[in-house]
Amino acid sequence: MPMDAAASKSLVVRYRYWIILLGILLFLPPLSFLFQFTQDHSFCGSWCPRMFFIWRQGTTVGQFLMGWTRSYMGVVLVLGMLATTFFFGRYWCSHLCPIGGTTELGSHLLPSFMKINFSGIPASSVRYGYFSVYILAPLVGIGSICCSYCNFATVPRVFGAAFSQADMAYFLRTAGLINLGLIAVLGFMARGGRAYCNLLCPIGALDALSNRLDSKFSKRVRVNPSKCDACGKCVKVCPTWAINVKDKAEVDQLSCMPCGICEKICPQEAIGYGRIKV
Amino acid sequence: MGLKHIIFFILAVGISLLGSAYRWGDSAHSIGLIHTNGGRVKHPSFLKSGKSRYAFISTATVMPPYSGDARLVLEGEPEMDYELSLSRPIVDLGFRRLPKFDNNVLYDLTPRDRLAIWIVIKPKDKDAACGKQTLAFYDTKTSRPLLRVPMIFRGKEDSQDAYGCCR
Repeated sequence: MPMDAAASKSLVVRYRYWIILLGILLFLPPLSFLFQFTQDHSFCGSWCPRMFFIWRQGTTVGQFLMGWTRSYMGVVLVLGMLATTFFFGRYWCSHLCPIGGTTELGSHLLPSFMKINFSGIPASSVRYGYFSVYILAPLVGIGSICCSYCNFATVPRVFGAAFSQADMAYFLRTAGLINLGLIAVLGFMARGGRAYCNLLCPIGALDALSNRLDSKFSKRVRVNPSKCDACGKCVKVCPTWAINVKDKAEVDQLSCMPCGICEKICPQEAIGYGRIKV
Repeated sequence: MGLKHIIFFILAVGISLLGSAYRWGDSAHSIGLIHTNGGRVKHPSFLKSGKSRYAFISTATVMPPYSGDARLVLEGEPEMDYELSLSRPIVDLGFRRLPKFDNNVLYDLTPRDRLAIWIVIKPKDKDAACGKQTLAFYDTKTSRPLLRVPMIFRGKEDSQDAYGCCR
């Protein structure tokens, strides 16, 4: 199963951390650059990517559609992300998302003895267990985890709290402190900094489905089995623990994002981004 | 799919269900419309009495034809200490006009402005933190109400009368 262009380490792999920093600059305080075009200042409001697809008990079709218009930039963001993922892989998650990018970069600042290895947890089971409740609990009237536990609300306010009393107020409540704890433990303290993305992010859950859906025909991170010697170096560095080694390394497209870390570390140059050559 | 996957799936569902069903009671969010006819709030917000601090966020859109300055006041019994702050960009790049907020007054509101105001409430006596408080928006020139956002404090046993007072 050879690939095309597998060995070339592209610009998006080499400059990924700079692209993440650019995403942080565009979305997060103190600049919150993109939000200011729509009189917003965070992902809450018209940029909310997490709430418009939630159908609450008693909601009419009109109210549901009104939610889409209220969060119109969030709708554009999510639909755009799903479409690009379908064809090219999860570049939003790996390169542009300021939320996951922050936790990943932040995790590099912590010493390794403080890191927690979550790779023993079957990520897709937890992710879709959480995601099914995320979708169904409001629908049947149990309640919602949508806003109460939100990484897209928490991370921008971590940045903003140093400057703004309003952002600080977010953490003066129990749910805000729990969110902060989740970001700290599953983000900054996680090995690779992406455990929150991999386990609890509903946008990541949707994006992973899109990634898996067209994984046979579109460009994805793939292993060339004829080159792989099953050394396992890629397994240790994968931030989403998406690689499994038996006889050869295999990539789980339900967890993989094209960060390229495995590609960079592979001594056999057996991992690359491309299509399957038939 | 192995047993480990099934166990983790069930655990994730169980914990998420608990998270969905349980409310911490020290925070709430309300959505409102600021209007010359007194405004409209989407739903009253319920808080649990007995806490030493509450953080409440009120988001509101200014509806035409209203424009002007609005004073914000937390009204109700018992009287509570509170602080208001308006969410706004830390570095204002000036792409859009934003209302100013100073000394609990929103200046220069115009139709379609969208506001997010945080209210941190500290009851003077936390056991007395029950009853009904209202975040009220008044036009500074006419003193007419533009929006009244009720905050209902429920008792620990969740018992309350029609006005939301705990017993």
